[in-house]
Amino acid sequence: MQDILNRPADASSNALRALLTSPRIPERLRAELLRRAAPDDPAYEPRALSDAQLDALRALASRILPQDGDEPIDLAARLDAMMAEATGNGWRYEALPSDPDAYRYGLDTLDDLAKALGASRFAGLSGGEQDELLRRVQAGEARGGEGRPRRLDAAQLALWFEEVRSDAVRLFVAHPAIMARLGYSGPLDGHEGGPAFAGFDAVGIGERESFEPLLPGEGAP
Amino acid sequence: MNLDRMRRYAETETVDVVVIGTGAGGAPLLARLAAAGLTVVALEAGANRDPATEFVPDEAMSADLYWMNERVSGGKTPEAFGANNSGVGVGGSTLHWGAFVPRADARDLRLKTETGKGEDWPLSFSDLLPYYEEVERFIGVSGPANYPWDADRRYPLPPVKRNAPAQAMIAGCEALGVKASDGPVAVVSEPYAVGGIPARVPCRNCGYCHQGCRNGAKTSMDVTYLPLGLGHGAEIRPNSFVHGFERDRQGRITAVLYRQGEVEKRQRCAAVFLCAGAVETPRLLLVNDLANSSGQVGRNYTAHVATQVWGTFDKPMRMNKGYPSAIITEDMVRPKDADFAGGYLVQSLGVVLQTWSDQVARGRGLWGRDLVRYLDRYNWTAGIGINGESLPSEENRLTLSDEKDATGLPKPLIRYSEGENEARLKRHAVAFMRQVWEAAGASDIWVLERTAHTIGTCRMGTDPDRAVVDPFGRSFDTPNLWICDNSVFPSSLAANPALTIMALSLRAADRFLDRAAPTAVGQA
Repeated sequence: MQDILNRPADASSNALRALLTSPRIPERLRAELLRRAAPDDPAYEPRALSDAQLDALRALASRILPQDGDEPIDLAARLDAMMAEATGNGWRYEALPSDPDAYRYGLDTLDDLAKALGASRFAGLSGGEQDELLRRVQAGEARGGEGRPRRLDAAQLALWFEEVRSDAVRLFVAHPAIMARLGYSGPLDGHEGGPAFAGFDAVGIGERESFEPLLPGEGAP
Repeated sequence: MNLDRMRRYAETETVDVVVIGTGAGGAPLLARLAAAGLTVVALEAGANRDPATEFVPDEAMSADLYWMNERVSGGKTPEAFGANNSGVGVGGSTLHWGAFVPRADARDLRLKTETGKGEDWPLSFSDLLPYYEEVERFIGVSGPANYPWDADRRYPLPPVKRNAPAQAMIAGCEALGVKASDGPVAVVSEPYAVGGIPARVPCRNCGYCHQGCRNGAKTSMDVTYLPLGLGHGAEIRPNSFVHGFERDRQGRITAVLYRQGEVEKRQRCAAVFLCAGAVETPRLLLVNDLANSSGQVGRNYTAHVATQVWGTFDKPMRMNKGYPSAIITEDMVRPKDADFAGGYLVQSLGVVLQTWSDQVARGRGLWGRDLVRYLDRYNWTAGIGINGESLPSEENRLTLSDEKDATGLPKPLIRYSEGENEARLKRHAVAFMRQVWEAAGASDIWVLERTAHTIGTCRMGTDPDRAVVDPFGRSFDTPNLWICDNSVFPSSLAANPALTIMALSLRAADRFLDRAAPTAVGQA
């Protein structure tokens, strides 16, 4: 927490600090946001995936959610942890295996498809080539895993790519730095539950509470 | 909720009724039966919660509000479960529901008579009306002083505050000459007190209804019918997963078998109300080969067409704030130019960040720079969405899969495919919502395909060969088994299901008690 709160005062770290220290956040949520804000371990060892699969997932995650900042969130490591804890979402497509297996087979299939393009693996393709391949995946046209064990066929690959987009983006916007960048006020709805619950009053179009972040184009109050 | 001073029953005692599930189906009848002096025990698979300290405004931290044992979803339009529609805990799905409570339209109950398609319900609107009125008064429904589509209707509380998407929908509908109104919402807009339960404080417009209400302004069973039932001597046992039944030679249930953690337990009883929802109810019946001489258990699984249209506005909307779906139009319940049976309700939509981003990545199919740029527009976006009729089909079916889940029971396999009627309804609705959103000033408009709710699988009817339960919810096969939840719906209706489930729950209890139905105040 100290690291996060003592960073140099630029606009983004100010916004993050304001969110994490707001008196309006419930303490359970503040603790969780601080946990999410902690820097990722650069030496993270995968728990559900192989090293090669984690490499492919890092490449994939950076195509789904490109991050320009100097402290990108390691979405692949967080996805691997999610798979290792098998915290599913209560359902899966009949056409796909369990979530961790879908990740393993999907990432291996991406590596296979990259090899067919002459690269050593998915992470070895250029960004543009990765995007081109992912466009075929999304369209259900990336054939290669058809009929092969522990691989995904074109239709499965399209469904799995949807799952990865969903998992990755939920982790991304749950990160307090992203909430702060968007000027998101959801966590500021009140410190206490029960009869003392604060909530919001200014909820109409263009209305802003004094404690909500200013958005681009909005003047100071 | 506070269970400390609850009356408790011995497992060896033969209680009058065991209720399985404490959501919109189980809770009202639990209170009604206990108030009549019956001994009643409710078995709830999930935990008991303290909303004021446990609920937080964050989707990822709210996962334990949802039924997370894996379900397998197939068919041409596989439905999402979990956070989309399946709750667990004392209060069931009402802990996370949206609390939008339109009444069923009388025409939807007679859809087959009207159109030759779908199914008629084995009851009429006038059978439901007194129960609708009673439920609305007790749970505290906020709504307009004059409901534009029903001159006789009165709601006990004024409307909740309109948030930005609500204002946009009002503006768009006004520009097009479409009637729109504050919707019927089971969230108390003012301090509210009714007999038998603690008074409730008003909504604070936080917008996180789906992650559990932090001050009890939103109706959930744990702040309404369950405390009423406890006051009349009912017992609620949390963390109690029912997996089986004991029966006598005549096939009557004599005891309910359940598990609390690792401990196997057994409650003797004279009757059972199964109220576990349209997935767990049929799964339990199929696993136990119960109440299925008709072969109908698991059939006609249905989900509402729940398509949404999204757009970007010039001014900040900050749609995380405010009750999420404050505005309704019922003008499309029977559109004049429809080429389909039935119709749909339309509501304004504000969606909180993680949920919205998930919809964007899945439903709009964005990734890369396009996704990041669009996420940055969150605070300027707002949505509008429908709840539409979906015709029942024998082929849409819940069965038991070959895999087992953490409970040791087979995972349910649900195959659901929308048909031509749904496709036509959706086309109509998308064109309509686009017009409204364009008239409201939205740009960059896109369509999110989705389905909502779990409906059917144990339908009610008058013919034991075509239905699982009679028009009051009593099993044709097992006379001391009653079913009361959305699984008994013969058709989806355009209306969101929970208000009708609660009405059916009280009606089933009155029938069980051999009481006459109350009389309605308003006209049918």
